[in-house]
Amino acid sequence: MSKERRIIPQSERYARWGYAFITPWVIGFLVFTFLPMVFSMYLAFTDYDTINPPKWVGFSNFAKMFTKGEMWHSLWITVKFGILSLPLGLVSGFLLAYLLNMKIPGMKFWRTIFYLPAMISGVVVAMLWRGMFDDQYGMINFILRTAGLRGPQWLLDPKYTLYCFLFLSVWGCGGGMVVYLSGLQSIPTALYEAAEIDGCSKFQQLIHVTVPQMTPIFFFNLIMGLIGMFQYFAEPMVLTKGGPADSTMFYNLYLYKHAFQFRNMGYASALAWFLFMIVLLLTLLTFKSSELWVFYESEVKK
Amino acid sequence: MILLVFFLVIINLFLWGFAISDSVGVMTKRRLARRRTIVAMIIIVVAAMAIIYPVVSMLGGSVSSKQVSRTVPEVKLGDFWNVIRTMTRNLVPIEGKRINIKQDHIDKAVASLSETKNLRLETAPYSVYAMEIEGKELHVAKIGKVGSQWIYLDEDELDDVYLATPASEEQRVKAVKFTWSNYPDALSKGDFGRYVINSIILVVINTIGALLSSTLVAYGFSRFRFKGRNWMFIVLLSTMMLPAQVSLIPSFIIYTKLGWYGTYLPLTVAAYFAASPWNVFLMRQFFMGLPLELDEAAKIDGCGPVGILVKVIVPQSTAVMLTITLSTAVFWWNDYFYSLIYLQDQKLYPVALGLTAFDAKYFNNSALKAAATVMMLVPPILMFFFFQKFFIQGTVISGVKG
Repeated sequence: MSKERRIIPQSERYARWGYAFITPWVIGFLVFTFLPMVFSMYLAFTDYDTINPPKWVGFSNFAKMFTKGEMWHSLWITVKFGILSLPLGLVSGFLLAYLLNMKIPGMKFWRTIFYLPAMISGVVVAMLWRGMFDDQYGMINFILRTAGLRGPQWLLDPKYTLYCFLFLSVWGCGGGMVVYLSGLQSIPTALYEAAEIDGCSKFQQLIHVTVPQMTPIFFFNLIMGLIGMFQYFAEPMVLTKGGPADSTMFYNLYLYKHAFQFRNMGYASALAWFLFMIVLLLTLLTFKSSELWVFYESEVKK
Repeated sequence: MILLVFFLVIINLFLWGFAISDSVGVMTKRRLARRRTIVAMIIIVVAAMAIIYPVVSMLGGSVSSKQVSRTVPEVKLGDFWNVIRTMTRNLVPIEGKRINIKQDHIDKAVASLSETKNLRLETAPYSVYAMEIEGKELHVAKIGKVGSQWIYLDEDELDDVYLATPASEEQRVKAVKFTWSNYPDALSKGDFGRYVINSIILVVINTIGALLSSTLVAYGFSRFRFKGRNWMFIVLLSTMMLPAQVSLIPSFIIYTKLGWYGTYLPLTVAAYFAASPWNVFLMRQFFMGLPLELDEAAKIDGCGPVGILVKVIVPQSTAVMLTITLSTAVFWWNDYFYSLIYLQDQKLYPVALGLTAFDAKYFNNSALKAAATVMMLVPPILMFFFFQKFFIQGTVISGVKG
């Protein structure tokens, strides 16, 4: 990542200064990340309620996790939500960026509006949307009613609750837009000119020039989205608290409930480690697959 | 369905503007370009309206009067009494007043209804509303709904049952009055003002910590060559991908054992130890781009490493520092998860957590809640509007180059 050319040869004394400057991070990493991780690994094999000392129980937390349906249920909800929301968010965010890139007047204003959902707290998002989902006075059912359809009780019917969050995530698609926008602006115009000379229409340019050039950014947003999926918390916590009938019990919410409401610290640690493994696996898979579809400028074709 | 149609319309518009081949020949290049801009504008405006709608409706709710009265066209006392023509009902219940009613009275009220299809009863305790019926003021409790009509019981005469038909859309709109008073009310009531101050404290402490520690660490990583530097930086980068949950539970236990639970310490201390690898990465990328010649000139002038940092690097890095300040500030202003875990005393709540407490306390005063919500969402939006260059730089550097 970093090229060595910028570093001038330094004396031994300088190396010591280097260590001195990074000490805060080294301490921070050891105290706030590494040791807790080791401790967490240990806790995953114990039964711990924060009052009595941890009791070693071997693999029983993991056994409980894999055999009881609850964890699979919340994992499935999280994954299902991810499968529905990530592509939708990716595509709509990109389309927005593509349109905004067409020298539209009032760019600063539009960008603020589209980026707004990403700037505000999940709690506020939930507050804003709760009214929308009201089955009598809510905007969504109002639209459905005018179209002659009967809207469901969005937040009360377990069949529909997950789709409420889909509304939220489509609404927030502008979050990735800013990155797309700067990616679009960094595509060399020479490529478009060349395509135009070859007789490409704007649409063909979009498919054959813009999209391939944007794949690294799609890739980044996909990875961040995957990780974010397992961090989803404030919105379901405020809107539904995981209910009704556990239909919105996202993985992180499930973990939170076990750790901080039921104080099953051991079980929750096992959950956290399993989550870590899943995220790691997904990230690795995405990285592996990236060779197939991500195009980097520095790569020489053939 | 509607969504599908909506998307189809959008996609068709898109195709109409973009998929048309330039070789059609009928249209000139300029006309085609104009057509594209129009299509883009239409889609953008529609999308922007959809995004802004919840915010605007919240804004509208926050400036409408709390005690809205409206005329209800038809109210019956019991089901066999004369129809009373007009009644004024407050939309918002009397604040903080909820009463319990014996099941007997509820049953009796239900029995007096001529029709019990679509009966939905509320659960105790019941909200109490002030009403005016033919000039007489009554306090009535809302016990449920039958069909589209609300069922009320007189608080003092529990045998009196009132049925009210909801006001029509027009009547409701007419009744809403404009007022700013919800904002001062929200700040003074329910500790929302205190939550704001708490959040500002958290933001300031964390921003200072993030700035100090990430500057030092990034300087160390970008300007010094030492053994293990590269793999340490790789470790730092890989912590970006690490889900916070893995270290969360042990950290919670450690902080609790240290007696820090319920204070700001768990929320702030980590910031002083470069807790956010993003910030370090951002800062380091920026430092790497600064010319080394100035460093060397300062060194010749007799500056030590600290002197170079303070006199040469920092003055050149105001942009990246602003980026980190803004992102840290917005993160802590919005934080819900960490304060939910570590704080117990309501007096210490920052705004996000405070808003949920406020929401529970004033569950029946939507105007007050709307005012509080607006106060929480406006600062980050304003910040983004005025400093978007810096926000974007931050996202882009970590997004594109990472």
